[in-house]
Amino acid sequence: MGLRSERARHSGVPARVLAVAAAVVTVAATAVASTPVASAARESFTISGAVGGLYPGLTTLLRVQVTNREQFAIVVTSVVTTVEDAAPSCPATYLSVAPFAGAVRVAVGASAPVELTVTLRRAAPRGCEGATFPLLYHGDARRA
Amino acid sequence: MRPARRGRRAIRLVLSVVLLVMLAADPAHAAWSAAATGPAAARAVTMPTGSAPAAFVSGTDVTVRWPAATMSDGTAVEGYRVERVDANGNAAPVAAACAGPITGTACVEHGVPAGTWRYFDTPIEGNWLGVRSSPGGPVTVAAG
Repeated sequence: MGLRSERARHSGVPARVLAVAAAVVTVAATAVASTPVASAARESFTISGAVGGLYPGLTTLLRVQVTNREQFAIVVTSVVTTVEDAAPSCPATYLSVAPFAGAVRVAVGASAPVELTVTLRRAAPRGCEGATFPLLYHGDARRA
Repeated sequence: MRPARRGRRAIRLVLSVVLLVMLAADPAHAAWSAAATGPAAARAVTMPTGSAPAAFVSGTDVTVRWPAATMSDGTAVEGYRVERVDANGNAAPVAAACAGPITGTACVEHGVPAGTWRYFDTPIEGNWLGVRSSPGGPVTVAAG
């Protein structure tokens, strides 16, 4: 008989009761560990949006749409944008997109706008004229 | 305390722990991260084309005026480059008041050499240059 069972016997609590309880707690703890966490295969929401009309020194709004693909409302708490090079002569460093931090509620199956501030630096070279910067969004959300 | 009573207390205790764990696993506290899909881009504009300037002669001074050029959002460009060519199309250096980026839409060139001249203007925004205008009408400066 192990130590746990020995103590259980002395405290008057049947060992099998503790054994079952320990198993239940283990299952519950596993449930916590597997609480929904994003994975590539399961997108809880999507983010899309584009902006045009950029020229050197211009700061403007980039309005992205967050679409909720869950079966419950969510609150988007952050959106971070990664900018890629538009061309070898127009590196990503000339474009900045400020991250969003806040709380935007998105109903089930609905979309909501999130506004980001985008700036094309005044020093942008001529190679950026007419160029297109690919953007990649990454967001965080929680259940509403 | 009787063993049976202790057992019931233990079960209640275990169930309480399980309940707490389950509450911790409540999806209301769940959070997700997601990468965006779909089109996302930031596009830069192309520069506007200058409009043909008009020139007026007074002695050896030539006043050059041109319509404002605007970016895609209607904002006036920040400056212009002014050029002068002779009757054969050969570029000639412009005098100081018209040299370099001109922030307005007019300049006066003093001490222009005798001859027949045409002027052009080119919009400037940061490091970007627009398309040079078509030439303005010829003006003739008499020998002083």
